[in-house]
Amino acid sequence: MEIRFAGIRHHGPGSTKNLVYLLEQFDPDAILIEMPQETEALFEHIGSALLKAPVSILVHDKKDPSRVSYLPFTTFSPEWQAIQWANKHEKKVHAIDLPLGYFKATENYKQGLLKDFKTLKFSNPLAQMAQLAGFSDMEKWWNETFEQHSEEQDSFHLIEYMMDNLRDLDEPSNKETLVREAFMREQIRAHAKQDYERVLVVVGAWHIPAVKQWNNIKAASDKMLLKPLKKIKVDQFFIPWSYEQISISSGYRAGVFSPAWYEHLYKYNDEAPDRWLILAGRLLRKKGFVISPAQIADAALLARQLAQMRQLRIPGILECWDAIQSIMGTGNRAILNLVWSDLVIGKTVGKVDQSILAAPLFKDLEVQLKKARLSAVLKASDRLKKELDLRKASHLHASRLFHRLQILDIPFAQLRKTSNAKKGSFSEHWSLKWTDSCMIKLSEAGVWGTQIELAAAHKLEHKTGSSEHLGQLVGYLEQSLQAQLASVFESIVDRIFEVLVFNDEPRQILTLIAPLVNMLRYGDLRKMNQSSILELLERLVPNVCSYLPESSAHISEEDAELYVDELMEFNHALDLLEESDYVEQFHAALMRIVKMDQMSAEVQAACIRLLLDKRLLDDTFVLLFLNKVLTGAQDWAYAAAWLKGFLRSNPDLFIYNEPFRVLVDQWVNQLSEDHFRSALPTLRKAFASMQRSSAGQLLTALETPNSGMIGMEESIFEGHPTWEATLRSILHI
Amino acid sequence: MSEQMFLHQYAEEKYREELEGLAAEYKDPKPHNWILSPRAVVHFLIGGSLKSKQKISPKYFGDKRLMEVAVASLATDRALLLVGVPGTAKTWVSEHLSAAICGDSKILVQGTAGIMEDALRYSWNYASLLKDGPSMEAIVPSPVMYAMQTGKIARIEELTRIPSDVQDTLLTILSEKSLPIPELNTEIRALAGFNIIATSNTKDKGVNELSAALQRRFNVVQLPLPKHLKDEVQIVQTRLKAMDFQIELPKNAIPEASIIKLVKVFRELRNGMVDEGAMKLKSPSSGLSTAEAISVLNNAAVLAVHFGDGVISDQDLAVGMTNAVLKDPTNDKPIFNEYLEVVMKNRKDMTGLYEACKKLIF
Repeated sequence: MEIRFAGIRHHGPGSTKNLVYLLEQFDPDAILIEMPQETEALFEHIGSALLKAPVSILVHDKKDPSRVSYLPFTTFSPEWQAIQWANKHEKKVHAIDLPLGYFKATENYKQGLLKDFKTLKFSNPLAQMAQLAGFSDMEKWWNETFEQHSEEQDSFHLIEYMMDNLRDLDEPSNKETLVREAFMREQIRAHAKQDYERVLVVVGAWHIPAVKQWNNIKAASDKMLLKPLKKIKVDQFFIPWSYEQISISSGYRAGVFSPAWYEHLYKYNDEAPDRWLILAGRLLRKKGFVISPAQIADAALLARQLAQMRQLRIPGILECWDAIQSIMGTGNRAILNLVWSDLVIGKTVGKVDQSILAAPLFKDLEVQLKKARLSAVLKASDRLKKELDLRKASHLHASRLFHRLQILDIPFAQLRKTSNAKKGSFSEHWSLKWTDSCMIKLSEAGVWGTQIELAAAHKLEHKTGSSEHLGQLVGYLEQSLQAQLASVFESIVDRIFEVLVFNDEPRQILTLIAPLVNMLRYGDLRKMNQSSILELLERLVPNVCSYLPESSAHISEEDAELYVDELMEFNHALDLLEESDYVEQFHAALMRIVKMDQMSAEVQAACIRLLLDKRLLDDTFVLLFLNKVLTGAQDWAYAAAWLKGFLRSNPDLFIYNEPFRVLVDQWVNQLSEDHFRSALPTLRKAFASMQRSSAGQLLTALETPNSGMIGMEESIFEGHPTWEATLRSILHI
Repeated sequence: MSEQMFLHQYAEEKYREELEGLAAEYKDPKPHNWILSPRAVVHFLIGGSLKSKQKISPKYFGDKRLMEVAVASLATDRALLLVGVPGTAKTWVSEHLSAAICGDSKILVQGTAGIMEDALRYSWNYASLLKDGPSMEAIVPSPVMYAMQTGKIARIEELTRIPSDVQDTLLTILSEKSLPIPELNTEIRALAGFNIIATSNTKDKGVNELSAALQRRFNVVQLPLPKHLKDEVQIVQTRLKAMDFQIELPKNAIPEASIIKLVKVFRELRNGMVDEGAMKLKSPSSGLSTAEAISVLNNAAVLAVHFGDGVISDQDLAVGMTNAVLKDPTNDKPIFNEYLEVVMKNRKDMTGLYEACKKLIF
């Protein structure tokens, strides 16, 4: 029997190519591969139409699904290609690494037989090697030396030789590595007894020197090492994976920096840099940049020149970046961020066919639904409507579950907005329906965890970390409250504080207060500690109040309507909060707005009205102000906008306050027909919220003789519609 | 009679030995008419020692990648445009690049709003033009034309201050590598090695943005302000050492503590954020670049040596600092005052400086 060893790097496209070349040359009848032994059962699917890489094998403790490991593959992973090759040529392929059942057995850690990943220290002799070769970065050195090769070649001897020497230099390996290597040797011994002619062992390059000693090291000593280990039962299956998750930035330890770049290297060899720059140009064009083919050619040229200066055979990802920055981005590095997720990470997402899809979350869902006494929903063929009373424990449980499923984007439970259910009330209306697409979504959500609570928390946490938008973050905060994810709740609050350091745009903060106050009001129901919301408000409200006058001054007339709404909501929120300090600060800010010139008419009027309603301004002052607005040099459009703002909170003021009514009455009467017609839309909006009955009352009030209206009508509206008709057209009745 | 003292020494003279050492050491291929290989040019700018133990002083303190891109651009025959806010060493880099590439940093056009096409093409010696009519002899070459004829680097300072129609003169020069002389029905063709390094300022308003066509001929390298306090302090120290003072200053005239204080204040005001993070500030209208910090320290040193006790005091520093920050007294004063009250007052090592500044602004 002939046995050969191939040292690879996980997810290294160069390794993959060399490996495929070696497979063709050597034509082994069995491949032994460094994968946890249990995963062998899943190998048959690799290369079949049921899977589309990137996918991951998920392994979890059978008894405790929250203890999971992921083993991701891409098309350019050497393991993937090797197994695919074996399946295609009908050769044997075996997984020889230590079963994950050992890793998942807590006993082994307690007794110090294995070590927790977190406590492992990685010495890095490869980094030293890279330094000797004049590279500052190990990734880059490995890429240049072993990955970026055009011709497939058998460089495994070279790697083997290098590793032999490095292992000699390095301090003894940690216990875990020794145990794994002992197990792999045991497996090789076992398979060597089979009737194979040629065997290829595919393991991480680092293990080569240890496993190739299988024949020289005594089997007994390996057995000794393995004997005390305990093993538990695990479950494993495929789930879809994505380039985003495989990239190092996702926190996956054995990931690669740029999956998209590696894919290019794998597909296009030496053409990869050019192809990649073309892709960059095309992506930037979509973002509105004008990138000509000549510019792409220039960038390719610059990348080559840089590679030459940095003594590389072909440009790497850094050289391409520099070229993009200098030629497509006029020196600005930010241009890369615009296309980062497409160009560097890649948007590729894998697929797992439904027939072999298993969703651990589904098991948890069944348990949770049972607790909520809703198991029947899964089998129901009709859409089910469910009203929840959050004061009941079982209903609260259901609501929490539904909100968690919403965070995971599973279209199972939808919250129905009912007209009379107000925010903060005790009831929620849900519509429930289990479909096939729920199952697919549920399996995809498996990447976040194997239990619904943990998965939702993990996903929301991830979204929080990547968001810099305050409104969005407050939305997440509300979600975490509804889903009762206490730990995430706190980290979202922390994140909001963090973002506030560089984003304190007053207008944006203004809109955050109302949702936060709302959460305070119904948060009790969800049994969540809300002291951190109070802390947030302590920071935000004074900030809003101190910048309110200046930021209001920048509001344009077009934007005023929306802004007044925001102000009203803010006012309402402060009223609910009943915190006298805040209210005083807000009133002081409103007073300053009233005194400022150059303010949008609508905004200023709304502020005056707020103060009038709170009895902080008296009628006389407001009347004088109104008189100035209506009769002064200001034009009719200004006056109309002013009235709109003034009446926004409640137009009924004019019914019972005669002096105001008369003043406005006179103003409308003296408008020319053209001006009146132009002002009409604004005035209609001003009165839009008025009830029909109130409008009737207003009409009656105007018709009483002492309003002074009737007499003026004749003289001013000569040839015009009568005042009554005029008012009707304003009130739209 | 001793040698004449000049205020400014050309880079190629000042670093003659370094350039010779680099030329001797680097044997990799050079583009035509370059005196050093591209890698040697980067080495010259970044500094570090040679195998022969000779020391190469660093000229640019920043990301080596930027210098590599700059040199690679010139090696691919594309012109180089260095952009950045004032005081980010654009001119300094362009001078040292040309010294290392063609041994001549003197071929320079200063871009101004009033510049004419002649300054980029050629003008005539009118006496001989009138006497003998147009001929090559009657042509007075511009620096750009001279660089084309000799295969060297021409430097254009403040490219965006040049009016657009004059800028367009560069189009033919950069794309065809030739300069037509219609009067003589001939043209000047550029020798290999010719290229242009231009600089432009991103803070100026009312500049003439490059046309898309011209922009395409340039590779752009943005020189950033130093990222870390440590780097910036080092830049200031090195540049102060390299300065040619008319009167020799005592060795400790500029204590390191003063440099750190000033650079820190400038950085925080410029970035609108306290160095330790977590507190936002307002930024004044002035640029407060590294170059300005150097000039403030320089002035303070001269004040201290000639009118003080020879070592920069907080008062000396405060004068320069306040002048640099308050470019627009009405707007900048409250900003600076807030900084003094909120940040500087609470720093133990800055109490002296705080009081000196307070006295000055009120």
